[in-house]
Amino acid sequence: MLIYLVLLINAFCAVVPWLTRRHQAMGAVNIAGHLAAFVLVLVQIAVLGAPGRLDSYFCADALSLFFIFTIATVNLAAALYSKDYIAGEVGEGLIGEGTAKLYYSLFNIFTLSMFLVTLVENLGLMWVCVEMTTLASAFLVGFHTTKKAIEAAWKYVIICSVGLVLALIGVILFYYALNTGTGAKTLNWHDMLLHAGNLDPHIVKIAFIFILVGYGTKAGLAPMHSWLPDAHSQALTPISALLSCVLLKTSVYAILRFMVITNKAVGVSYAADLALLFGIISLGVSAAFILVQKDIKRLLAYSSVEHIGIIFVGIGIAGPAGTFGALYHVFNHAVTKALMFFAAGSVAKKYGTHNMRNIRGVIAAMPFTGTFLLFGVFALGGLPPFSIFMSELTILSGAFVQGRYLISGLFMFFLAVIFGALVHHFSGILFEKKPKEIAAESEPMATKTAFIMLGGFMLALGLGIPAFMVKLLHAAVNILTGI
Amino acid sequence: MWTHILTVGLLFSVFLMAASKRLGALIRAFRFQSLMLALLTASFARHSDDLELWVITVMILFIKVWLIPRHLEKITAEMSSGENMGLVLNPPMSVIIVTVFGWLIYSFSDSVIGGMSGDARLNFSISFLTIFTGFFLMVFRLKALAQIIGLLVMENGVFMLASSISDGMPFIVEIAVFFDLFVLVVVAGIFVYRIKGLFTHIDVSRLTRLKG
Repeated sequence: MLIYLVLLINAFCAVVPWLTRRHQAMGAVNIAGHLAAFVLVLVQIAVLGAPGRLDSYFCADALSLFFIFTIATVNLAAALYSKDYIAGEVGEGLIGEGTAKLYYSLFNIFTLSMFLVTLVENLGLMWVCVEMTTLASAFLVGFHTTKKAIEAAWKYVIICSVGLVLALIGVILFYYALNTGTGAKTLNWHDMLLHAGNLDPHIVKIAFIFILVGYGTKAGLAPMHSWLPDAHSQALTPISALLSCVLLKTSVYAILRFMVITNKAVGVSYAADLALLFGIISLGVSAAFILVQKDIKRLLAYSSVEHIGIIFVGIGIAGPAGTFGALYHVFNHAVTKALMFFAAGSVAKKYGTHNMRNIRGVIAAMPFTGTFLLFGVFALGGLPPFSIFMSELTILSGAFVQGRYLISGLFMFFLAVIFGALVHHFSGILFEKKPKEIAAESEPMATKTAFIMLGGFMLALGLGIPAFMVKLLHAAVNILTGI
Repeated sequence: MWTHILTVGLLFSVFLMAASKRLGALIRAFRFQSLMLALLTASFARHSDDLELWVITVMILFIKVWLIPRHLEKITAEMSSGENMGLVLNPPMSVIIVTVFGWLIYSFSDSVIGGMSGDARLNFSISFLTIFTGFFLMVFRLKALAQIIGLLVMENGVFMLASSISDGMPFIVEIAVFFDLFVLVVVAGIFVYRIKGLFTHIDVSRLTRLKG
């Protein structure tokens, strides 16, 4: 029942901005709403456990709850960051008070649609919810009506919609396979899984390719990622974080749901090998682009492609270790990348540019943000004791146990290249001499809270995973591996 | 008998689209295609006496035959240079390509789903050809509006695929997809206005500021 409450709170927060005129009040209500949602999700997971199927439309098993927890965490951080960010934009006259209304309303419609993706039981409705996330976030990408922002938003809507049409073909082919194989007329995930053994393997294989390419476009898998750096770099900073940290993951979630059915129908290796292939391609492509990148937000966007690649390598290695590592990485990447986007957004705003060559001496100019940016870079690159190191190590150990040395070698090679590139780019940004016209200043309270919260998760999960989360992760892995 | 005529009508609409030189003609072809789709659904509905299918027929007529084309025509009229849709490939060449792909899709359809009856195979091929044509329009017509229409044509093909191979998807999904499609057209339409306002053209091949 708590889960319904989370949805209601989200819907309520989407309406509130239209009832008040002051953007500070909207920001505060937004924070309160997402804090309440986060606490409710935490209580549901830590105290009550996964309820499983709620009714004929909603299902909250361990896998859904894990993704909901990730979404709720990033939502809270983005709500905290939004308050001062929007206040700053309104103060500078970049957006009006009325536009702030639109922002907070769309923010909540966007988060609500992401929650729905992970909750709906019907795979057709899941498709509709994924498309809704695109449409709700399109305006947030093109929020500043500049030429670049509108171009990014247009590409985002069109490329993702084409991808999703392909995914819809996949959904229909799954439905057809079920229809002819068993005569059942349903798109409910549990019912489909029950009959998965009787599906025609040939059709399921074709259908899964459509699903992987379709939802993969939205998940930012290379080579279908072309919309991603544009949208992430042009969106408002809190939205960049939401896009990168949780929107991409909701599509990964959709692929995972279909993968379980596919595995049962045609065996584990088929879907796993495809995931592995796309994962490695994503790692390679992103490594090349990170190396030569000039724009700080585009660099982080390509880093998202990299981490989606890591998640898919984990899924592709299959087995308990790989799958556990992949899911663990979903959360770790979400908190770390949110921190990085917030820090990069603040820095870009202060220096008035996204070009990394003109951003110098951040540690001196913004000591608080600069420190978090420094640790964030190390965490993102996969250094211990941060959490991303742990999940990458889990995935790698899974690969070694299975004797997949080629995959492990490629995986480590690309990660090493990317780590080198990150250190190269960010050492200049952080430590070189700051320009004279940039004065040192302190950050507002809510922004600081967001940084501390995300930094805390980033460090704490590297040192150890809390017992309730281990339990949730293992339950989710069992769903994925079909135990 | 009637279903055969309607299927041929759908096939015909695909060639109409490939041959269209102006946006107005493309929108009319889309309306014709949607009408064929609605009549086909109605014939299924009459056959199976299924109330849900009748509702879907009415929704196609309302949304795809009336609302969306009207909205698109309104936008076209307001874009003063809107009639030209930025042909990369001329109509005769486009028709030839679509024809060749139609033949290829028909030849390969048997290896995708084996053991279909003649009618099912024909429907399956025409739906995939419609999806392909939508994709083709998106790639080879450069104006933003033509891309929206291409997307809608792809969706029409998907709808036809669903109704021809598995008697349509569950009712609630169909309704939700319609709603989604309509929101998509509205959202994309707003962006067309914004592109026009900022760039003074709606030629997507000239949206090249973001690179690397």
